[in-house]
Amino acid sequence: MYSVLKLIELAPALAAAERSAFRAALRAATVALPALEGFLFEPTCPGSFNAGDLIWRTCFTDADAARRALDGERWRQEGEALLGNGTQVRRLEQVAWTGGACGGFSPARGVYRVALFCANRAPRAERLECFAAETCAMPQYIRSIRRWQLATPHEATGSRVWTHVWEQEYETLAGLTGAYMMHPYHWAHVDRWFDPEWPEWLVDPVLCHAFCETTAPVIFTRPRAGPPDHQDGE
Amino acid sequence: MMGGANSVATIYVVDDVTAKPGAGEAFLDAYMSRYVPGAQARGLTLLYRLVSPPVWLREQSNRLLFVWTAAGAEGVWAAKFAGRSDPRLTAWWETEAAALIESRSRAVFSDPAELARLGRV
Repeated sequence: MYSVLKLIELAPALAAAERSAFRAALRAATVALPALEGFLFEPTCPGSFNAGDLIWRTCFTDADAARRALDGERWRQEGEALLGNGTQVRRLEQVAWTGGACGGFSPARGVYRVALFCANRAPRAERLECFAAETCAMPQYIRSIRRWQLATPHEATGSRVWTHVWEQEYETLAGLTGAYMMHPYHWAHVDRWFDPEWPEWLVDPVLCHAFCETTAPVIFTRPRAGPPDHQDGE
Repeated sequence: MMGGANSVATIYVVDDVTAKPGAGEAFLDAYMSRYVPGAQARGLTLLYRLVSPPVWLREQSNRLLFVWTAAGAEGVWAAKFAGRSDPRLTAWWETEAAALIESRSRAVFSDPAELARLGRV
């Protein structure tokens, strides 16, 4: 699967009606994308940081399908025009990736969380491998993580050149804000890659942490036989 | 020590530093005067400071241990978040301390009797 994620920060001056209109227009443009396997379009929940206002996530069978869809005339005239309008969009964090390490089973509804990391502190191969292995082991200890994926994007733009996309799905918000944050595997072990006080420090302090409510599975890793799962905030 | 059912687990954050040859005392002075006050302000408590061997070596390296305590996961996160955006802290470890350190590690500990409680989140 080929996934594209955008964290969209709207211009602060936009009125509520303008925000709603933007969301409706971007949703319509997204639904019209050909070969769309699934999408998520939801406002970020309070507690997200450096993540903007909206999570936009699409997935396609492969990179060629994504390219055909996102290079298409209709998307460029509608979707790209909206996202490129500086009076409406203040900031975009964007990543695209093919597959990644993953596991678990998506809950029917719950909470989707995505973090964008930039591992730019002495990113030697052995350090990156250790960081990835320890991150992928988190669900073994933190059982509230129902579904997860750690991917390395091959396209990344925004406030950093993002090197990792770390996604999880939870059944409840407490699974993220409680178990995920408070488990010692996190704060006493994996977090050393993020902590400037540790000699292992690897990840830039500027990162994106976004989460939203879901009413359908989000993290797909292979094409689906049926119609696409669409989720939006309407 | 293990706390009662309603108490917060004590977490130990340990800096294990091997000073450059002859720099042990200078590192201790720098750590105590320019690192400790900030760490205390972030909510940590310095429980022990230890030096091995217990003599300042001139042409060899002393090893120093600093054992800090934090009040549970919340205390650890509070200290982390307070320091993470402070460029002075990065400058301390990467410039001032680095000039006096041969190698170092940091690790987080708890009483083994607390593991089940800490993992029950």
